[in-house]
Amino acid sequence: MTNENEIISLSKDLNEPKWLLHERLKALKVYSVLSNHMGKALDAEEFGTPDTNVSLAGARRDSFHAFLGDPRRKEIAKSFFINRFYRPEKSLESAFINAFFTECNFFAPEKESATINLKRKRGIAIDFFIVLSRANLGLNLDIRGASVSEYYLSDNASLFQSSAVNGKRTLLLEARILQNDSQAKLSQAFFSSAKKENNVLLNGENSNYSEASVFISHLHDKLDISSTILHAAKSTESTLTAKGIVNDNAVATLNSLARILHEAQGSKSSLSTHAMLLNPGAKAIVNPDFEILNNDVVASHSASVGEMDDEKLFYLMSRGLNRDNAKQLLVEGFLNSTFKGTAEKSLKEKLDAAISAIYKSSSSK
Amino acid sequence: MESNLHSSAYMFKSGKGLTEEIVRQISSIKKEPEWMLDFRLNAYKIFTEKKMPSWGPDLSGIDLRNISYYVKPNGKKEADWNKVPQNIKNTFDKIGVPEAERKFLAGSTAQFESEAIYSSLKKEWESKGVIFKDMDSALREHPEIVKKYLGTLVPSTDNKFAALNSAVWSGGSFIYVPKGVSIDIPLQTYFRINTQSMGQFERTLIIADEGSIVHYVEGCSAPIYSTASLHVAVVEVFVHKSARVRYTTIQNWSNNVYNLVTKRAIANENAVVEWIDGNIGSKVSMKYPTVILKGEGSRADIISIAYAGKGQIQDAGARAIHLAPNTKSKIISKSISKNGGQSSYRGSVKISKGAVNATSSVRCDALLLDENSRSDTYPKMEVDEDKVSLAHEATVGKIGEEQIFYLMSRGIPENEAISMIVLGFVESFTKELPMEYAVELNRLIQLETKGAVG
Repeated sequence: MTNENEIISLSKDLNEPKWLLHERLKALKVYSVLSNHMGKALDAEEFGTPDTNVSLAGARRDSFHAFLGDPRRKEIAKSFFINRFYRPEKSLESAFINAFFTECNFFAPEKESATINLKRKRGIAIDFFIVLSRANLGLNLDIRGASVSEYYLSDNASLFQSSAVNGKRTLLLEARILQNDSQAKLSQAFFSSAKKENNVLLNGENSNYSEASVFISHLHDKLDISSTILHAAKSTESTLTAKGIVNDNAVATLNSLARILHEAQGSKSSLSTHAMLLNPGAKAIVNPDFEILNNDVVASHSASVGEMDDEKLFYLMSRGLNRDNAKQLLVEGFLNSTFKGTAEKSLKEKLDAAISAIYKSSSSK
Repeated sequence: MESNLHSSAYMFKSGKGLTEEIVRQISSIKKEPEWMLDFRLNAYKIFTEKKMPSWGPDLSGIDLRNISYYVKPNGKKEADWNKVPQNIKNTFDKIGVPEAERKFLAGSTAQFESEAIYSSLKKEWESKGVIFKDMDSALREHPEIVKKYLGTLVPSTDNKFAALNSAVWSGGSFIYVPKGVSIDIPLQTYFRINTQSMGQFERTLIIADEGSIVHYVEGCSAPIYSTASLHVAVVEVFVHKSARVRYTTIQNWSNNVYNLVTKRAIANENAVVEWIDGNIGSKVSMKYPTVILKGEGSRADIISIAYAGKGQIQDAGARAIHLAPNTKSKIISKSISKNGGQSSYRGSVKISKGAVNATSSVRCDALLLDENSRSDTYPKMEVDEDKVSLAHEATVGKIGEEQIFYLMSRGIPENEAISMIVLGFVESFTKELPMEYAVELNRLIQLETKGAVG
């Protein structure tokens, strides 16, 4: 079996201990079974060799493989890895990354306030972000390739993250585990095909997760985003908003599930998803699900899918704007309200550029 | 209602479990035409091959081998009134079901005394060419219509329980309304003589020809006592050009029943379909009334409520499939969970390519009356066309304390305040019901929320 030999030589190149090779082979086995069963396969070569660029301010990055060679750290690194959220059996994608990953990092703030910029052009990676008590981490991601990212937030920790996805081959599996009074805020934008799975466990009281997403899908893009939020402690809160436009023959699928357990009294959850379809070939699938197991909650969701409002378009054109300019203005108005904070400035710039690119290319046609 | 309280009262009762032989026997006892036997046998084969649904509530409590698939009543039903459980009799008392109806509902008489009203109504329908019969008579007397439509909207291959129903169906209603005929008074299962409509495997077929209007009402809010633990029905409704069908169901099965129903309607050009669906009792209900909007300008309204009490799972919802331009769907779903009950809204709206100017609005609200209850919402929206408008909204929560406080400050006791708020919550449903049904349902909700009718 070629895949198996590939993994054995990959593990050897990285100087990995036996247990890790064993973990990889186990993941490969799960992958083959699921792949056969689902008739679906992923190709490790398509994600390419690792190319990760990191800049750190007040934070550190450690290599998992370096830790494994350090007698004082290898046990803790191993236990972290073994207890990861994305075990191979989670999904086909998880099994794939666990079998073929070529890099694995630990990131952690060293000061109370830290910033990490991470740019990954390609590769298959596993990243752990550990935000200790009271620390505050700002994180800017520009990511392609396949990766598992796990975020661990201790009591009172906070994480502010902005993430831009723009590359055909993007597969992201994310997990966030939040302890008491911690908060995580994610702003993300998708400009291309991508598959993303997000799991949030609100494990500590008063923990808070919010996610604002914008997507622009065009040509034959396939965007598939899913978020699962588990409220497992009192007074937890989650807010998910997604807005996007689907153009040409693109397909956007947005799944979200908020599950509020019996013990999560006094929790709040709100899900909202709005998609604008700009072309008869475009398609949107939206599933905002709730599972609520106690009555002291406030949960609501709203969703809409539809075309651009003709009346608004007509109004703008009656004011002298040409059709494309009017459309551009309406799309901007629809999407821009999502990113309000200053932390999202660079994301907002990228979004503006992406919107004008659509109308530039269409007016030059 | 094929209660088998007194099995000796039946002329024929199949053994337990289902075999091809039993399917053949059912068909031969009913003296059915060859094609119907083939239909049943084909469905039986599909039933044995199909898997149980992999989603939704746990159905492992159903023991398919331990069910009698056919019971032929011996003319009169003589289940013993004395053996009907006391709690059901009490509910009859409290919601004010007339004496004659009570015995009927409990399965101890085959009909209640409405024959005089029924026969005058019947004359009027028949003069207009309306056919309203039980399915078995319809198959005997109008085989060509039954053959043309049966199983074309819900084929046996649709799901395991549709296959089961197709293999062993018995009873149910058949309605044919000719072109341009409009019936003012709702057709009710109540009226039908020798009713077998509440059979375990009923099959209902409604055909509304061009421009006709009909309202069909099945069930009632009083509890239906059944010793049979499985109710698997299939309903097919064909609505031709510019016709209008409203199908109202109020069902309150006793809480040992698995109620698994496939309901589907197809709307042609400018037709209107309305499902009004109330699910109160049962152990587990799975029911998702569907409208296929096939003709341009057709419209669907689906309004449902579900009440899940102790030990009950109500997995209800609605589906609208838009296939043509200018189609409209509106879905309103309300659910109430109490005493550990679980209610789910599982819906889907699909707008296919070419269904330009389709609009759909979905609203689902859930009320949780205590901390041990559960409410799930699984709406699915799939849009394949840009010139459309689809909106969905949902809320889940408990009764606002300030609402209760306000009512109590006006001198209304707490339990009554809660009951008033719940009645207000389901009002968009009850206002669609015929008056006598609305009154009964309101009483029932009061009874369930307050523990007493005040």
